[in-house]
Amino acid sequence: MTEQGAVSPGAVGTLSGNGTPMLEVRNLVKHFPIRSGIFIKRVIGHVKAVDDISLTIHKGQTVALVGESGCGKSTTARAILRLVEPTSGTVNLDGLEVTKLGKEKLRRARRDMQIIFQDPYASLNPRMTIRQILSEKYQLLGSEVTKSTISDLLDTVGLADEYADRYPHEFSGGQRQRIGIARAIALNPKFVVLDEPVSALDVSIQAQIVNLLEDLQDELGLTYLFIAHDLSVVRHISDIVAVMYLGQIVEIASRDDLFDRPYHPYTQALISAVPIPDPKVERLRETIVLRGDVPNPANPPSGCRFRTRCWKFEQLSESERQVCIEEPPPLNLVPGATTHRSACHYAAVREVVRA
Amino acid sequence: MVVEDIGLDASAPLLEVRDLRVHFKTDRGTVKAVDGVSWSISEGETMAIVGESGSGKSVSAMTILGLIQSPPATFPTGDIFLRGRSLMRMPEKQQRRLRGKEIAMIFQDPLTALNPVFKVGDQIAEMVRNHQDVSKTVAKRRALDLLGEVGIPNPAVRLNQYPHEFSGGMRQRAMIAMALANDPQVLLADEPTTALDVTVQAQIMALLTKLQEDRNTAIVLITHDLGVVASHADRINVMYAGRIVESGTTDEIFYQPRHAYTFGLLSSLARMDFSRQERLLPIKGQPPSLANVPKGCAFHPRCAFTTEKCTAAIPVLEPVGGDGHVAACVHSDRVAIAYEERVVTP
Repeated sequence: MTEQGAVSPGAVGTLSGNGTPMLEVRNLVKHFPIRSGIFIKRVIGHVKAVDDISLTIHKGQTVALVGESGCGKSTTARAILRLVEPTSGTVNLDGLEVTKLGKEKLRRARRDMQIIFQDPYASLNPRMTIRQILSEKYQLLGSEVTKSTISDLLDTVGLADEYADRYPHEFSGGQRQRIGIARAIALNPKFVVLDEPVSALDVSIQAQIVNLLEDLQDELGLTYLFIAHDLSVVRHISDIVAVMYLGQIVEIASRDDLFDRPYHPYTQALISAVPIPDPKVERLRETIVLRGDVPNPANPPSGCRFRTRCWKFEQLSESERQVCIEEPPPLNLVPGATTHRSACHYAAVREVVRA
Repeated sequence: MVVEDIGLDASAPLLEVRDLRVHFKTDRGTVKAVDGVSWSISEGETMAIVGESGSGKSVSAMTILGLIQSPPATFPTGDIFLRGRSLMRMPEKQQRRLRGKEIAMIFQDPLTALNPVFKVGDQIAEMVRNHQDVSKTVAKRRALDLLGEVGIPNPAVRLNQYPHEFSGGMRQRAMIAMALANDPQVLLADEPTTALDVTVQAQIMALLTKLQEDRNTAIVLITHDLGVVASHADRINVMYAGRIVESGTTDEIFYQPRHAYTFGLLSSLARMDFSRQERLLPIKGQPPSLANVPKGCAFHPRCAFTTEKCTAAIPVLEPVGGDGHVAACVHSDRVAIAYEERVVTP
């Protein structure tokens, strides 16, 4: 895992930086049309799943994208990989403009960018043996499978060679996730999206997979985009954390800054809502309980999208609230910071991890 | 229909499970989903049952509510007592009167637990009328009050909506309203927040805590989330492969674990409140199949403390200091020392 000091200034949200950017996402937008009508399907609106996201990930780094279900974190990842076609914006992977590639070139570029899915049950074909699943990967992307290829690959992810000729149903959840990881790293990718890779696993198995992902990152120099809602694992594995709400990044910082000095009221509520497995710490903590649910992303609130649930907004006077209602807050640097950004008109630090 | 006196003893524990075994006969042998589990709970208390998938935690709760069909299940031993009255030897008709009235359950997935073709309000009203002799209008008004009580905005509108019109958090609130319809004394909450986002989880747990304070309800919290347990449970039972392997107060379990499995679980967790520099310490291997539980201590193939003593016999729960703190581990002393010496870098 990269040390704190290796998180360079400018790694967050800007183009400048000391490290080498592996992935640069600029103004990524994905709107899904809402159609209505029986014969003539008219577009009556758009679900703004991803609304102007910019992100830089440096070589060997892990950036986590966190937020509640429906905030657009998975769509962002899929749009980056062009598993869904972005509406606008650019994605640059190690100097290659992914968003401009034609079909054939994109297929070849996929060698370098892979994804590990949340549900290892659903993402493996039940009719294929592990050997077939993994060999297919090499065939599709025009690479040779030698006798030892598959056993070496299984060994890398901690599975015995004899498993190769079994079917997915013969494996436990943790083992299936190892197979999903093996498939993703088979062709030595540069960049891997981890979409909730441990959420479906038992607690005692999660740590095995987290360690494996960290080892592989060290050995193979992988760059990760980690999509998660479990903030404990995020704190452990990430270098930088971006918090999303309704299709936008509301706060982004190095992981210690984000957890120890969060500025955005949503980040604060999110962190405060995660219970810590330590009864004495829990007794002293205050949970910020947000009201209501996430608004409909087809019709987000004006100005700041979080204001309808914001605990800070509730405390403001009528005149102070105007700016929240009228102006979308920009993702600005917080006072004295070089990388820590927060999109709130009234951003102020609040300790929530242990208080 | 009003529940008449069916011989409940006010001085007996509110709910007690004694040596419960739930076995299923399958082609691959007998699956011992629950294999000799005992616990009890008093009013106002929150008792957690913690374990991984397949540890038997949900099956034991479903047995209490008579939701496990027999056959295929068999109950070789065990009994369940509500205020001293055996639920398992009670006629089905009497059991039905208690289910949903004295004991209610909320499930992990509210979308599958609610009937999609009936209005939410009607489903709650039905629950009221099943156990109370009231008119439809009164039941409906009660449903309206309940929806308000669980924090659903615009309850009058929501009453006439269908489950698909509710968000995940709202559905879970509706299910809690339904569970509370008859003021139960015991609430079995089976992974009540697992399907929800953390901010919604916080809302639901705050709601359960408030309702418990108002009504002095006993809550059996079945979960795998040690964070939720740390913040809400008074006592904890740790289950592994169909058995309780350690039981104690929340502080005892978290600060003086005496079973190697509890120790392993706590050591494997990533922490949100500080950056752990070292690697996580996973438990090796995976949970056993319940049709083929390892000999002796079921945890021994995955355990860091295993010796030949572990395979000799199934360890029984023994006192490990403290009031009622018990663990079924022959190496509880070594676990204690290892826990004291573990590396923690806050």
